[in-house]
Formats: sequence, C-alpha cells, structure tokens
Amino acid sequence: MLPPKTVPTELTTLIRDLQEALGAENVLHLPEDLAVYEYDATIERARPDVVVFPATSEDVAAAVRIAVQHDVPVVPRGSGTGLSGGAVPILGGVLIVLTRMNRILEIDADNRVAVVQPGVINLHLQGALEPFGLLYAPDPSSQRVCTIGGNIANNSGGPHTLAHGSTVNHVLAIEVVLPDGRVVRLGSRVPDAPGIDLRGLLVGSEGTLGIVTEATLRLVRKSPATRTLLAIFESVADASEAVSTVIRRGVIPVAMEMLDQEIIRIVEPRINAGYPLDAGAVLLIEVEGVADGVAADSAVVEQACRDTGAREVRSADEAAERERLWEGRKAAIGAIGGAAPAFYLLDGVVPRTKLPQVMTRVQELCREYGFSCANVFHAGDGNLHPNIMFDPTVPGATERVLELGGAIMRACVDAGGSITGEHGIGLEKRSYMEWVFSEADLEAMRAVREAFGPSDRFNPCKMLPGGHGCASGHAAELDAHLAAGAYV
Amino acid sequence: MTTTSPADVEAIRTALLPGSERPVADYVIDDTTPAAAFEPATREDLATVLRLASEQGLVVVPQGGRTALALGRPLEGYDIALDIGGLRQTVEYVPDDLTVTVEAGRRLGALQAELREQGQYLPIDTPPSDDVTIGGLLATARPGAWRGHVPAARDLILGIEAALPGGERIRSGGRVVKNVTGYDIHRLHTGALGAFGVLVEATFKVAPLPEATRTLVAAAPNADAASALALRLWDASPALRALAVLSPAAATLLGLPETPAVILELAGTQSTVERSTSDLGAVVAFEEAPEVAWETLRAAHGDAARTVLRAGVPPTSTRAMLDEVERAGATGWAYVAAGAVLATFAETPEAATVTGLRDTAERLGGFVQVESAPPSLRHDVSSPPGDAALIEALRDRFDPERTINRGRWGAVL
Amino acid sequence: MTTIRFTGPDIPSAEDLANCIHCGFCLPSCPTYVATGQELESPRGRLHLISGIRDGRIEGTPRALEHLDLCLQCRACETACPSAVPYGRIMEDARAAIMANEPAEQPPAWRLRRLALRHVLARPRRLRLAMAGARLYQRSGLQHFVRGPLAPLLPSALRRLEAAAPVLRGRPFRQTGTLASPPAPKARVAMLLGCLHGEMYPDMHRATVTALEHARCEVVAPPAQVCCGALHAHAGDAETARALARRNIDAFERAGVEAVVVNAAGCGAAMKEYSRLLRHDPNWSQRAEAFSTRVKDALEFVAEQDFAHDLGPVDRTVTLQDACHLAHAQGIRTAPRAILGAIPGVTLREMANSDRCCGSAGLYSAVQPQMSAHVLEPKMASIAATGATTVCTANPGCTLQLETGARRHEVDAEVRHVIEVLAESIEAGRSR
Ligand SMILES: Cc1cc2nc3c(=O)[nH]c(=O)nc-3n(C[C@H](O)[C@H](O)[C@H](O)COP(=O)(O)OP(=O)(O)OC[C@H]3O[C@@H](n4cnc5c(N)ncnc54)[C@H](O)[C@@H]3O)c2cc1C
Ligand code: SF4
Ligand code: SF4
Repeated sequence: MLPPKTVPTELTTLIRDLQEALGAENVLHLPEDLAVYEYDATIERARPDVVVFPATSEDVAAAVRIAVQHDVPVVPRGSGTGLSGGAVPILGGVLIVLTRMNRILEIDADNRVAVVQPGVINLHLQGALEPFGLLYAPDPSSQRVCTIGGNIANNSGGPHTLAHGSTVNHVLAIEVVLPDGRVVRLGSRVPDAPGIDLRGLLVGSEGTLGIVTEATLRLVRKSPATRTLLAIFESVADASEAVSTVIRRGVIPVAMEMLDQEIIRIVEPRINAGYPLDAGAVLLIEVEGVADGVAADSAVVEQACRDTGAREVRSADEAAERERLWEGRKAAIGAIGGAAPAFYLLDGVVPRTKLPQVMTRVQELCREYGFSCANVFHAGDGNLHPNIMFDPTVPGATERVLELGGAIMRACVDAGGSITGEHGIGLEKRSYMEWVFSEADLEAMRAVREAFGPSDRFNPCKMLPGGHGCASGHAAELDAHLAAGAYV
Repeated sequence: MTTTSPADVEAIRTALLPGSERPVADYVIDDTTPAAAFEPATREDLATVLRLASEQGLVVVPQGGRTALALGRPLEGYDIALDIGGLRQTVEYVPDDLTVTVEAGRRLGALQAELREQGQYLPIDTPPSDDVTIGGLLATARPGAWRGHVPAARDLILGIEAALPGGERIRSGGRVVKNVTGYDIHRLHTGALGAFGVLVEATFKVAPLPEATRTLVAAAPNADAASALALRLWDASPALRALAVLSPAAATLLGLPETPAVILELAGTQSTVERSTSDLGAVVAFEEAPEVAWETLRAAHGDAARTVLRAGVPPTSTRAMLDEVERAGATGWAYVAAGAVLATFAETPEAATVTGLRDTAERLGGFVQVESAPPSLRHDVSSPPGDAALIEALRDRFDPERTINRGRWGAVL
Repeated sequence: MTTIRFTGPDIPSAEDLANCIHCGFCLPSCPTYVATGQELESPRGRLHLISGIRDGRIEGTPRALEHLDLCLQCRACETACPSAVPYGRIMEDARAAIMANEPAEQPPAWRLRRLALRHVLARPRRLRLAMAGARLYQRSGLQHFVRGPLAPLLPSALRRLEAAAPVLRGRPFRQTGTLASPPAPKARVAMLLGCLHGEMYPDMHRATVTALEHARCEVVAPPAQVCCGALHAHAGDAETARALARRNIDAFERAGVEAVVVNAAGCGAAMKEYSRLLRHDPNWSQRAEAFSTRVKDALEFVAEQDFAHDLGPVDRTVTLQDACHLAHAQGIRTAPRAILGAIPGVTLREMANSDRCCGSAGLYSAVQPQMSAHVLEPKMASIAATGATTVCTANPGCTLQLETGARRHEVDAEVRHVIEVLAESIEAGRSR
C-alpha cells in the first residue's frame, strides 16, 4: 500500500529509515494506526507521526539517532497509563513504545536483585518473584498494567510507599539511551558506588532526559507476618486525625490508605470488599514484621484509631481476606468511571498533619464549585487523590472543573505541600510549577535538561513550563480535545 | 594552582557580615593553607562568597565537620575555605510529619539529640561519628553499618536548598514525604562532593526511635562459616538494623577473640526484638555485645589518618572480597546486606594493591571506593565520577568556573 | 480507498463509550494485545477507534476495521475493566453499525461471512447436508490420506481448516420433543440444541440430558427452535440475529418451561442478551426480557440442583478452560468447579490464565487463522504444564479449538465438556 499523498516527503524518509532500521513490521505510520497512540490515561490527545516497537537497546538507540537526523521529537511510552499526559506526543514525532521489551532478564534471589527490560509489567515481575519469597516494593494501583519503565520515568509510588519509599529507592542501576543516541549505564548493581548519582536524577525525569532500556532493581524479602486493618470512621476529619496519631505513637505501618464515603458508595456495590456503606471514611492500614511485632504494632494502631473516633476496627491476617480488603482500594479509581459521566483525578501532596485541614478545604471548594468529589488516597504519605465528578456535556463544566482542580492544587501548595506526589507533572501541571518553584529553581532544572540534550528532543513540553511551540496552559490543550470522550 | 591576590580576598571580606573570617591555620587540607577562611552567618553571605570567588576564578572548598577531606582526588587549587558551620539552625521540625528541615552546617549529633527528645531519629550512621555535618554527610553520601537495612541518605532526603557559584540559591524537592515535582536535583547533589553547588539546607524523612535495640555476636570457626551464617541471618529476621562479618583482625578491634565472627543489631519494638532474638538464637548461639561496637567500626571506617577502602560487591561475594582484603594486609569487615567490605590499612598500601583489590571487586560485579588515603595515592586511584560527557555538561552549567572543589573529581572537573 | 461510517439502529452509544477512562487495566487480559503488544489490538484501542469512527475523528478505513475484526469478542476485557465498560455490546453494536451500510460499502470479507452465516447456520437442512458430507469424508479413509501423504500439497489455509475439523463422534443428536421424563420431576426445562452442536458433539447433548434427568428434571426440546444467532450478532448481522431470536422466543415460550438450559456458553450468553437485542422492537422487547431471565447455562443450572447424589468414580486428572462466554460474558466460574469437585476420582489441576481465550471465538479460528493460532499456542502450553489428561470446557467451539491444539502441539489430552464428565460419573453410579 502506498502512503497517502498528504504525507510530506521528509516524513516518508523518516518512516523509511525507521523501517530499515527496525523492520517494517515494527513501525506504524498510517493515520488510523497512529490514532490509538494519541492518548494515555488523561484527556490529553496528540498523534505521533510514527510509532516504533524496538526489541533491543540498540533498536531504541537507532530510532533516536534517526529522529535526531530528521530533527523530530522522541517520546517514550510504556503502557500508557500515565495520569499527567507524559506519554502523549504533543508535538508529534517518533513515539517509542517499549512494550515489546518485556523480558525479565535475571532474578538473583540470593542478592535480592532483578534485571528487567523496561516493558515488563509491574505485576508480572511480582508474580515471578513470588516463588522466591521476594517482592519489588513499588506497587502503584495500576500495577497490573503499568511498565517498570513508566514507573521509573514517573518515580511511581503506591500504597506501600509509606514504608518502602517510591520507585527511586528501589532502582539500583539503569541503562538509558540519551538524546544523542548514546547508550549508557547509570548506577550500579551494588549500592553506594562512587561517583555522581545520575541514576537518581533520571528516575522521575518523565522521559525527558533518557529512555530507560534496562533496569536493575532492588528486591525486598516478604515479611513473615502481615496484618491488614480496616478502621471505620464517621468522618474524613477523624480518619485524617487517626493517621497522624498512629505515626505520633511511633508506629509506621507499611500502608495507610483512606477511602471517603463517596468512593465507598461507588466501589463497595461493585467489589464487595466489605466497606460499610454508611461509614464517613475508612482507613485501610497494613502492618508487617515478625509475628509478635505485628501484634504489638496493630494494638497501637487500633488504639490510636479508637482514640480518634473509629467506631470499629476489623483485622485480617489471612491472605485471601486481606486481598479482599485491598481489592476495593485497587479498583476504586476505575470504578468511578462507571459511576459518573466523567471525573478529573487530582494528585496533590501535603504534610500529613495538614490532612484534616486540607481535606476540609477540598470539600469546601467542591461545594463552592458545585461538584461532588470522591477521595481515595495514600493518607499515610499525605498524598491526596480527589476525584471530581462532572458531566462534560454541561456547557462550561469542564472549564470549571479545571479551575477547581487548580484551586485544590493551590490549597496543597499553601499548606506546604506540592502539586504531585506520584503522577508526575507531564503536560497537565506544567503551568503550576511556578507555584512551587522560583524562576531560579526552574532555570536550574532547565540547565539539567539541556545538559542531556536539546530540550525539544526528548518529550518536549513536558514537566517544565515554557518551551518552543508548547501551549501554555492545560485548559488550552483540553479545549481542543473535548470531543475525545474520556475525562480522567 | 591558582594564585590568590590579597585584593581578591578583600572583596569577599568586605562583602560579608563582620566576624565571618576564621584563622586559615584551622583549614589546612593536604598541607595546603588557603588564602582565607570564612564562616558565613547567613545564606546570603554564603552565596556571596561563592559568587565573588567565582567571578575572580578562585577555588572555594566548602567544609563542615572536616571529617572526609581525604576523599576524592587532591584539589587543584584551594583559595578559600568555606566553613558551613555558621548555618546550623533547625529550620522546621514537625514530629507528627516525621520531617525535619535543617541547615547544612548542623552537626548530626546535635540534630539527633533534638530528634531524640521526640522519640525520633535520622537513621544515618555515616562515618566517622555524629560529628559530621548534614551538608557533609550528604555531599559524601558514605554508608555506614545500617545501610542495607534502613534507607540511605539519598533516600531519606526530601528536598534541599543549594547555593550556586553564580550566587543564586535554588531549591529542589520539598518538605513532604512523597513528591515528584520537577527534577530531583537533590539526589544529584547527594554524593557529588559539591560539584553542583553548596548545600545550605536539607529536609529529611525521620523515623521513630526503635523502642529497643540489641547487639549480638557469634564467633565462627572459620571465614566460610561466618559468611554462610550471616547470609542465613539476613533472611531470618526483618528486624535487623546492622549485620556484619568480622575478620579475626576486625574482631580484635572490638575486643573480641581473634576469630571470624558475625555481629548484628536488632531494632524495633520490645516484642519484635525479643522475638527476633529467639528466632536468631535458634540458628546459632549468640552472646550479647555492647552497642559501642558499632561506634568503633564506624570510627575505624572514617579514620582519615589511614588509608581506608570501601568495596561494594554482591552480598554473596563479600566472603571472596574479604579474603582479598585480608590477603592485602588490611583489617577487613563486611556489612553483608549492602555488600560493603571495608579495609583499613595500618601502612599506606601501594597503588597496585588498591588497583588489585579494585580488579577483584569489579570481577565480582562491584567497585572500590577510596574513603581516605594520602594525596598521592588518591591522585592515582580515586574513582572517576561516572559518564564523563554528561557530568562535564552538568558541571559546565552549574559551576562553569570550577569554583567549588576544583579537581576533586578529576582534571576537567 | 473507501472508508465506512456507522449507521442504522445499533450505533454504539455515547454513554457506553464514555465509561471508558482509558486506564488500560484491560490490556494485559486481552489475548490479542498479549500476542502483539500493540494498542491497535487492545480493548482500549478498539474502543478508541470505535468512538473515533462514531464521532468522525477517525476514518473507518479497511485497516481500522481490520483491528476491530481481530477482536475475539472474548470479553476478557469486561472482566478486567474496573469501570464497567460494556465492551461486548459496544463491539457487537459497532459491527452491526458497519454492516448496516449498503452491501456495496460493507467490507467484502465481512459481507461474505454474513452470507455464509445466513445461508448455512440459520438453515438446518443445508447445515446437516454439509455435515453429512464431512462425516462421509472422515469415515471413507480419505481423511487419513489427506492428513498423511496429501498434506504438503494443500494450501496452508485449507490445511489448517482441515486440521481443525472435529472428530465426528457417532450419530448426530437431532431428537426433539420430550427427552427425559423422570418420575415426580422437580422442574420442567427445555434444551437448546443449537445449529452445529448436535451435529458435531452429539455426546454433549446426551450427557446434558443424563445430568438433567439425574437432577430429576423433565427435559424437552421444542422442535421449532433454531440457531441462537450468536455468531450472526458477533459478525454484525443484527437483523438475522433478531429474526432467529424471535423464532426461538416463540418456540420456547410454547414449551412452557421454567428454564431454557443451554450447554454451549456462547449460545447461552447470546440468549441472555435477547432482551437487549430486541430492545427497540415494541412487540418483542417485553417477551425477550422475560425469556432472557429464564435462560440458564447447563452448568449453572445443574450446580443449583441436587446433582451430587449417587455419583460413581471417574478416574480423570482434569484441567478447566473457563469458556469466555461463561466466565466473562455470564460471570460463571464457580459452577463448573463445584461440579468437578463433586465427582469422586476427579482431580482438578488449574492451569495458568484459565480464563484466557483459546482462540476459537466462534468463526474466528476460520476467519483469523493466524491470530487464532497465535492465541492458542500459550493456551496449549499452560494446559500441558498441568499434566492433566482431560481438558474440560463448557462450549463446543472451545472443544473444537482445543482438540485442534492438542493435535497440533502434540499434547496428550482429551477434551470434554464438564457435563460429559458428570454424565460419566452418573453412569458409573448407576452401574454400581
Ligand atoms: C487507575 C490508575 C491508577 C494509578 N495508580 C497509580 C499509583 O497508585 N501510583 C502511581 O504512582 N501512579 C499511578 N498511576 C499512574 C501510572 O500508572 C503510573 O505513572 C505508571 O508508572 C505509568 O506507567 P506506564 O507504563 O503506563 O507509562 P506511560 O503512561 O506509558 O508513560 C509514563 C511516562 O513515562 C515515560 N516513559 C515510559 N516508558 C519509559 C521508558 N522506558 N524510559 C523513559 N521514559 C519512559 C513516558 O514518556 C511518560 O512520560 C495510575 C494510573 C491509573 C490509570
Ligand atoms: S473481547 Fe477479547 S479480544 Fe476483544 S478486545 Fe476484549 S479481550 Fe481483546
Ligand atoms: S475498557 Fe475499561 S479497563 Fe479498558 S481502558 Fe477502558 S475503562 Fe480501562
């Protein structure tokens, strides 16, 4: 089949070069094929000019070099579950999809290290580690589909980040392809190697500094005992208070997740996790360790919850029971999709002690703007996820929701927090960066970016405000894509 | 080497608040005395020193506890000593958030005392002792015995403020425990020996002080047995905070009999420690040992008067590495979980000895870091910083004049 | 190059499509995504294409339609979806909305398929004639010859089709009227005989009658019943599907039964959805609604009855393939396990991804042989890994595909409907 006549010749040669380097079957360029690579899990939409599926680091490097020759942008993509528009090729160019590089290369159980390709799905790795009694601690709620490469690019967190830390704490070394096509290894399989920690800089750089083509990960041993507690509260404020109280009493659970009444009423009928429908909020708390320690810690946690107004605290030790309690948490965000015509998922972070105050403010703001809002979030980390539900067919609703989103972000910043705890800046929050950082801070970040290569090469218009040809605000981008149908 | 004219220094002297200058004799490094020494009382002054020095092409050497100055290559110039000890306030401490923000010149010991009052601590045991400053421990990022069991400094740091040679002060990260806003420049600074600016403030995630700790030691008939035991114990308890294999020589450092031994520390709630003690007791018979053993090892690791190497190898290879260390005539011990093997030399070794050990470590999949050594040896055997092109490009943007610690990472840096 | 638009009464609804939040949770469950690693062959991608074609943002080119066509309609994505996106009906609607175009505009392959379905499956006499030919072919020894010396000479597609042909066991099941009348029956039920089913796998019907009788049910088969129309609906021929649905509703209503028992998961799923299929038809929508609530899968129904008495031992190590249209479309997973668990002597060894499609998917294995084979491969590997010597299914299509797989991949396992194993146990109990 001949390419359609509308394709400019430079594009034709770009496509041809890529086909020669990677094989024609690993290159997509027809408009109807490109159409399904215009999204991630946000409402942002933009089509790439060409999509490639590399099988090796060399393929990635070759694709990058060809893109450099043709002077077009490069955007890496994993499973496309990102919640900040990170994998959306806003200026077109070559989209490098890493899903074919999905092999687990090595599991060194004795030294607690795994080496994987970037397209490995987080949960598949967990499954492979299971027989060794090991786990890879970062567990984003999207773990059944998101890739390790995407996790590294976004420094993803999850419920267990509270005790184990985000992705960056679990990445020992990475192989990356740089904007000039060089393949380098950063970090070391054994921790604390001498030299400058470029690995730590690359993790969380949202695909703007390098494309991860291999990762060496730190594994942890599963605890001998685990208990999951479900504490039931009359209000979000009480539950928030409980979070700080638990910490104050010297226990750091491995996870402390909150679901408010709105989300319980959405998720419980679908999942039957056992959350009471009349609760104002529930906390899902997990403690780990040796059996006696777990018992002692849970007693502290339980008392702290009761002291702050919990009307009931249930506990589960068996894997199946615990799994059921967690199932509701894991399905929660998705379930909102079935409950409201559209929703806008926010990701803000505040000091844990400011939770009660900020949650109250969030509720006030939602009332003020006239939207209902469901909250399911990593309370232990102070990492909020308000989900504003709305109907995009109502004129002006989308704009107001975005405004409300901005106001909530502002409230987080004002409380000493920040505008993203785990989803990244991407396209969505570039314009809020100035609320958090001074011009000098942002200049330093631009300097970092430019040290790696021209800023319009890898994932242009992402993370930092400004940039050539980049739209300024989020709303502008949104308007153009209102027809797209999904409004996460 | 730069030559400093009195006029250069005078410009700085007059720009700072009175009383900021210190006697240069207190700031000698590798037999070089700087032209001037300052201990700025404010961040503004600190930035001013950097800016003026940078404008005049002078070399500034930031220093805090002065405990790790024999790390990295010998300096290529030393005009100004910049003592960060004047910036030693705790900026904000919110126990319920488990976060603390401190100025870089604060001593770790002072901070720990403050945290302890609230039943918390910063789980960092950088050598040689709690005399290290916050800035120093971050710039050197040296792991101690707890590494492998608790997060490293680079994982506990939430945000920083740094002063750049251009005089700007920049922030990255924040004060919240989970944050992915912008590039993590704070991680770039960790272990960079000042290559990208001088840290003036840092925010950390702190931890509850364990309710109980206990140090246990078990002698082993031979090195094989010690190593195998340690690996087994590593799997046996989640409550370990430290786990080391001692060579006979290292055992004597702690006043133990001259045989291979395993020493470990349990930390957690009372019941956790009790339970783990009996769990581990089922594996092998232990004796209780004084906590001070860890301080002794920490001091030996940080002994700047000696040549000290730190090898990093996979935990299962610590045994092989420890053998090589003993064969090279050093006193060796291994923090098994982190794969760190320490070697302290009574006499300065030949460069070939160091490169030999490095070859071994690399063959085992690891590295050797020179933690301290005389300048000439450091000159020959210090580690390179990593990908030269990237690091040079970064340094060009953050410190184009190479004002801070010129030469520490090698010629062009 | 022609592009196609959606038209007709079945255009996928905006509300259904808006449920998709693009989270991608469905991707790892989708066999075609797993096989290709490409968004194009994923539920999310297909929904995006459908929504784009619907709103005119994406052109309905032959290439785009090919991505829709590569969908197995296994509905694993529906199970995985946290947002309750009704993928199955969206895809069925999309196909109907494509086939509602003028014949000249329809994709040629789709048009042919529709013709074949209309003129064979929907017409029992033609179908029986074709099957008789096949039976003759197998019995004459010609098959032996074709599979042996002649095989290399056949074009590969034909060879694949030939290799997929079922082993036609015994006489076809064409009985109607009363099939069983135990004394003091607890319920009166009707059985769907299906179009191909009784021709290809008559033993499954016999076993179903045995099991129902054992559960003390009176069993009838209304003679006026026809093909369920599932394949037509899947292929976008909503009109034929509706016509068949009306005839079946009529036929089964007359039988005056409490339940319509269906032992083919694909047919049962389709019949449970007659209510939706006929929702626009004022004369039929209510009747369809009432009918659909009476449809029961055979395993679902038997598991609810008193079936576990007097069972005899059956010495089989089995693994269970969760039929897509049982597990994903009807949400039935425990019933087959409960039945197998009740049979003395049967050991169940679960395979990995038991609810991942085998690649049969109605006509799919014939229409998309390459992808079908691609999907079958890991399935046979997980079966082989269990070491089971019987693979249990709940659908004749799966049986056919897995028999093919066992031959092609040299897996030494028999394929049996769960109900057949139950019948064996009932027989064993009787002869004790
Ligand atoms: C329902 C739902 C729940 C979620 N829950 C969580 C949660 O609990 N915690 C959390 O942190 N996130 C969560 N996320 C967000 C998202 O899943 C994570 O950000 C995830 O890490 C993205 O992985 P991906 O493979 O889908 O990456 P993509 O979305 O494809 O890409 C994300 C970013 O990474 C870049 N990238 C991808 N691969 C590479 C690579 N190999 N090299 C360099 N850059 C690359 C892309 O350019 C893009 O900027 C959730 C998302 C959804 C839809
Ligand atoms: S029905 Fe099956 S093949 Fe089709 S998109 Fe869903 S999971 Fe994939
Ligand atoms: S179909 Fe469901 S699971 Fe798949 S992307 Fe849409 S909402 Fe997510």
